Amino acid sequence: MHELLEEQGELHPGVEAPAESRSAVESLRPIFTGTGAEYFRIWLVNLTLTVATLGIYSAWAKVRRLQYFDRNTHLAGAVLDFRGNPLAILRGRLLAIVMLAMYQYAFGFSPQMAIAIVTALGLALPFLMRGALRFRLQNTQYRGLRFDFNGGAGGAYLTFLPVLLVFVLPGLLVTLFPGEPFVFWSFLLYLLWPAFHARLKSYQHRHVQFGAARSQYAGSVWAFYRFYLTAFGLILAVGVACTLIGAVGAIVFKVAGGANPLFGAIGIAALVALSYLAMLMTFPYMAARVHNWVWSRTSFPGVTFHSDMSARAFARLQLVNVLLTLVTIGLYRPFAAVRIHRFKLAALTVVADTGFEQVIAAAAAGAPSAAGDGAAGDGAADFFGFDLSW
Amino acid sequence: MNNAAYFDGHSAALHPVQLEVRDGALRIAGAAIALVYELGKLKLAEPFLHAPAVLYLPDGGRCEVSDPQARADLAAALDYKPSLVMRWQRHWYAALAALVVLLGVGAFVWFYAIPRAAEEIAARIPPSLDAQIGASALRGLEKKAFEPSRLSTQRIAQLEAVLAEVSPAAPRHPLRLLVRNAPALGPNALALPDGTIVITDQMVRGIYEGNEFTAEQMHAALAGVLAHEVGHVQRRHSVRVLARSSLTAAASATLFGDFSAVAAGLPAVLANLHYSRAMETEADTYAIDTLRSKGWSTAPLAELFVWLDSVNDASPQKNMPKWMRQSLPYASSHPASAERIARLQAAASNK
Repeated sequence: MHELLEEQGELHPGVEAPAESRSAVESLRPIFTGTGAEYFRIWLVNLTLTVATLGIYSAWAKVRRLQYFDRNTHLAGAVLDFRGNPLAILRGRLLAIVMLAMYQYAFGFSPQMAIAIVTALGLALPFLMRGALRFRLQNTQYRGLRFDFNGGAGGAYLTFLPVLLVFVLPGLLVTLFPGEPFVFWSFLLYLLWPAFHARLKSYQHRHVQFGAARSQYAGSVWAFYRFYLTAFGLILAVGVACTLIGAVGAIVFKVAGGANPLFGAIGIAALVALSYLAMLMTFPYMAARVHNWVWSRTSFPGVTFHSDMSARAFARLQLVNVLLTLVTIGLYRPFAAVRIHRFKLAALTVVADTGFEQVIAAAAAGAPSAAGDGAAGDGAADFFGFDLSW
Repeated sequence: MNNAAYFDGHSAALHPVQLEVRDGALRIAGAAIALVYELGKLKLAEPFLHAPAVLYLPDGGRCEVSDPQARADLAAALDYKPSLVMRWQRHWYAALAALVVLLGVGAFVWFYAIPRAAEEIAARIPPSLDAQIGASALRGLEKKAFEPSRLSTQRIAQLEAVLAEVSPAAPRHPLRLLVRNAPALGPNALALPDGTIVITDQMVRGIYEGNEFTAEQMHAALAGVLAHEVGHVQRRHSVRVLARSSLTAAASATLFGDFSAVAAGLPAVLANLHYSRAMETEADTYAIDTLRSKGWSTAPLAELFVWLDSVNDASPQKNMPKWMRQSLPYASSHPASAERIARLQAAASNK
């Protein structure tokens, strides 16, 4: 694919780019121009209308939110854009609520009902998740061209079914065979979680298309085990530290003669808060490392990405965001969203082998055929197109 | 002077162009580009402060205008009218007024619309479902909390007779009494939606041995406890809780779902605790009405609650500082016992 596009680019040079930028490697950084103050007002009005319409407006709110973030994301003189149909999102949300309700009551009535509902969800969910990925990307544009998602249905089942199994299999087995000891072995499925996470990222990043250019992704499963083990180690270390402090505190307490039980309660509360803070920092720490790793191994023909977020700085940012959001009873949330988006974009570098304009013109050279496919795809997107993600 | 970037929709190439609005038409001019569009067929995207203005062309092409002055000129030339929502969020005072509206609408939905909708839904749930829910709840309890009763068969027959006395002429479901030993639950009584009423050995012993009641008072206290549970069945509290908790869960997931699972789950739990308290009060009212219609006093039931309180006070909670203990009833699923006791005593005194 890579060679083919380069050949095409040389046969039909796109725009008249200066000679030096045609051959030189060019590094670009995306810029985000959105501000918390501006987004706060959009968010607040969105939220008010969503509540006032019992959630129906949330579909329109989502389109406006994505448009705000996309159109404020600049790369090489142009911005991203989102053109999704809110009705498709509304349809997806209604479906999601129905499925959520089914899942809520799946284990309440009878084993037959539980099997039927889990089977139905298992058959439908991967297909729907793939539909959601397609919807999001097909409605995202850059420089007048649409993105697309070309992951197949088979890949979707291989990717999402294991994830679904981790969530529902233990519950299903407990319902079907209550009290059987072998049921608890099904919880070992969680050990495979990093592999499933790796598989999910691979499915997402391997099948993106921009115009005719298809993404490539060079991931491995073991890196994800490394990230999860590090996170697990961090949490374990904090847990051990808190237990030790608690034990020492209890001894001191006993020696002091058990003054007021209130002190004990405060001490325990402080330790619980401390370990919760550690968790709050660990998840973004891991998320940042996964983000860097995945993006730095994603490429398009002639274009590579590099993400170098500082995992520690990201964890600190998330911690401050959570604390300020709590203190302001949620009003800080839009500011937090803008800061996170800006932080992630600032860490991303887009590297074009032979000058960005040159490469992107080559990528678009196959666009007419993609537009032809897209017309048929559009109909399918209208029929199956909806968005499950919030 | 080039003031816009033009994209033709077929290639990703950026064409620097100049836009000009003249004679009811937009002219796009650049290197090898000369396009004319009717103004009526153009669509300008919602403007943002620092984002370029985006102009959608009818043939799938687009223009992006970054220069603030050019953006303003374009909007004026196209006679762009921002929607009501955009004008609303443009001003700080209007956006902040949304906060007030939000709180008002939120309160209306939370305190009026959702309970109202839940009642409507509960009224449409078929009674056959009550039996299913009741049976599955009982299976769980039998497995986890219940042991066979250690009371004599005469005592159990006595209890069944009292239930028959307080039963309404036309119960919603046929009522039946189960007596169970439940060390984990302690003195307690519960009503399942299918009309099953469970009373624990511990509660029965509390009535007959724990208090210094006369035979008449024992009878009135027992009748009060059972009438309270009959009230839960008659008012169909379980199905109403189910309908309401499902609705609140769906609503909070829609609103806060993108924040965190904890935030999404919490409001639903808090609301249901409150709902339970309202229901307990409703069941108390039912018990008071039943006792009064038979001409029995509500005072023994009040005394029984005092005793239940003292049993609960023996729990570790008692060591907590006073302010903490007092704030707990607000987070509990039962109304503060003091309130309930006062109500029963008042009912006893103004016969």
